[in-house]
Amino acid sequence: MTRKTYSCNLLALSTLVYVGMILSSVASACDEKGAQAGARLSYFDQQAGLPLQYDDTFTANIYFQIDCAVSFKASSGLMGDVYYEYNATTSEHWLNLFKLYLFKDLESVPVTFNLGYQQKPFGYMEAHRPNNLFNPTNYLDGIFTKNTIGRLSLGGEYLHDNWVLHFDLMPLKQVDNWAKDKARFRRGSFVATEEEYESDNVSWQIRWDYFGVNTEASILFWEGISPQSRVLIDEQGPLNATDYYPKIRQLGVTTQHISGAFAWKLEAAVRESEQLTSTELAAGISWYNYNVFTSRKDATLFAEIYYADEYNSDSLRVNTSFDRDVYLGVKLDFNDGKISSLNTGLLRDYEKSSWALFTNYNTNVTQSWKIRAGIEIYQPDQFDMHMVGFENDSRIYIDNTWYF
Amino acid sequence: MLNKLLEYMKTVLLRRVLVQLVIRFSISTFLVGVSLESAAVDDVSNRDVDRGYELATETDKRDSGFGDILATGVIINKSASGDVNQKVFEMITVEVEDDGDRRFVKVSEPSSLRGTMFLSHAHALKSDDVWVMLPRTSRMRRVATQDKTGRFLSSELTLEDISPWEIEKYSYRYIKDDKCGQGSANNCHVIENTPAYRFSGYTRQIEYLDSDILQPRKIEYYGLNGELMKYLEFSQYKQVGLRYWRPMFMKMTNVVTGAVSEIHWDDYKVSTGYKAKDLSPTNLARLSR
Repeated sequence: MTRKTYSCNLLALSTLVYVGMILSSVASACDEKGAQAGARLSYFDQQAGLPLQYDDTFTANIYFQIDCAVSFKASSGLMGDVYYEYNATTSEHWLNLFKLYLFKDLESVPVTFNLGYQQKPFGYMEAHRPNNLFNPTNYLDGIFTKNTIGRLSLGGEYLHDNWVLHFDLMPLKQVDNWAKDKARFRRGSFVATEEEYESDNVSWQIRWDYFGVNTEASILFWEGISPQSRVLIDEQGPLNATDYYPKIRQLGVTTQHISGAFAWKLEAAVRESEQLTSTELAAGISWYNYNVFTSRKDATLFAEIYYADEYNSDSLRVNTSFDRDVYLGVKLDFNDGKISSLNTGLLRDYEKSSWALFTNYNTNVTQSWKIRAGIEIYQPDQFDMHMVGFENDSRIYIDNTWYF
Repeated sequence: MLNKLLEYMKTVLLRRVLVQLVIRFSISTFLVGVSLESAAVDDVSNRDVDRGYELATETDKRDSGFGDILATGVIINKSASGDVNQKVFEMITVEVEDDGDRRFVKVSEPSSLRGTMFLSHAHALKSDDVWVMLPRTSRMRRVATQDKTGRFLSSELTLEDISPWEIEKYSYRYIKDDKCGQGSANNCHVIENTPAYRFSGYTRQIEYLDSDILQPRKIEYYGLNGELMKYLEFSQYKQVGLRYWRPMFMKMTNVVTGAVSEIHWDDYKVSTGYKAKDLSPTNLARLSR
């Protein structure tokens, strides 16, 4: 590492400390608050192989998160949860307004209005949720991440006894987040030098959630900018590409039915844009086991299957993510004093034979210090759109989080 | 000769008839005796069952009508090896007519679990409906809890133990009146509760019900192998909302592992205005604030 890089890192670290102090001051105004800081160290099996990527096998990321709830009156307030991450190896950084919104609950009718960056997850599947458009995914921590990006929205919710109707107007183009040029995880063997968005930026959605005795279901209609890009390769050279975000219309449905110790899940989505038409289907089952083998551990087993077809305007099938995939996973809760758990998942494209595996172990060393250690192995096929680009990204990592 | 033979046969037949009559009478008498004794035992047994049910009904009657109760709990888990951890949570319980009560739990400490939430709708003979939200997920997940033996906050208490009590959940048999425990000044009715729910983690519970306040002082839990697994002690009862008795301290001791979970309750509030519909998954965003 050069002297200049060291200076940059030192400057960045000082800035982070300063930002942390400012955030702490802000936190003092909160009715409910919390903060965490962490460091994630990754050791990659191979040097990064994509153009422009930093070729070190070791990466250090540090992050801060602060959350805050302020009540103005009993029925209105501010919810905040802001996350910042800095890659000390490549000096890339990223801010996520995970939640930062004002809310107002009306007294006379069961309606809530929200304005700001919000979270509205959709679906029950573990590996992939085809209709989870509201909150784009942050892939900085790999493809198995559950980290999502806050979405700026002006919305309302009508609350009935056993259903909720949502409407959201989203004025910004917000899309899935990948590492920038130098860092991992980055898609494909290209560098997107341009971003292009179709027509206006405004998106909207209407959504209905139903909560029955043993069955839950949601229906969604979305129209707006897709959070996933279509990569347009420049004919001048393979290193030049454009991330193109089309305007899409999507109709989606998901349901979960609880029967005994099982949860049965289904999800379907139909999407169309000027260029592509796609259909996605997913089915899954979760099996809940308590006191496994008369121990105090609980285990949940997951099995999911994904099927998708995507066609271009010439009616030719194109490669897409989760088109012929299966996922098998296990979550083991130790129910010990350290809140330990073990998660494992295997994702396999049974048509292209690519696969990825993750295992992580989480435990609290103390009440305010948590460790997550894990391993991820990627064996992608060049035509598997979900995994391509991760050929060299198999890694082991340890993530330390301190809570304040 | 023929007359002698006839006389002999008459005598023999008469004897046999007499013997048969005596035997039959004896058997009948014995059977009547046995059935009378059995009826007496059944009568006692039925009386114990009736008395057990009567006490359960009276307990339910005295504890009904609170509307909703809020409380703050601090649970301290101590393993046999000396590990100690602590969690702080708020609990809201809302009474529901014609069904089980609804309960909402929100964890505030430790920081790593802050924002963890549980919502449960209890049912007498069916699985409870349980939703769980983990920190920073914004996603309430319905989980299958047919088997209620899942742990509550990794403690010695299971989902079954914290599920609101309903009369129909058990059959009852009064055993005796006794002191509520060794050295206790309180008098208790000792009752055997047998779970009516098919997937219970217990074969039976022995409950020491305080005869004055009709609240449990101690419950012993017997596992599926019939052996004592653990016992829960209730103490420092206080009257909240003028008439409802609530313990300020509970202690679950696992006799198999030696682990202990203590819950210190505080800040009880009664009839604050929560309704059943407030504790529903549709209202979770509001509840979580």
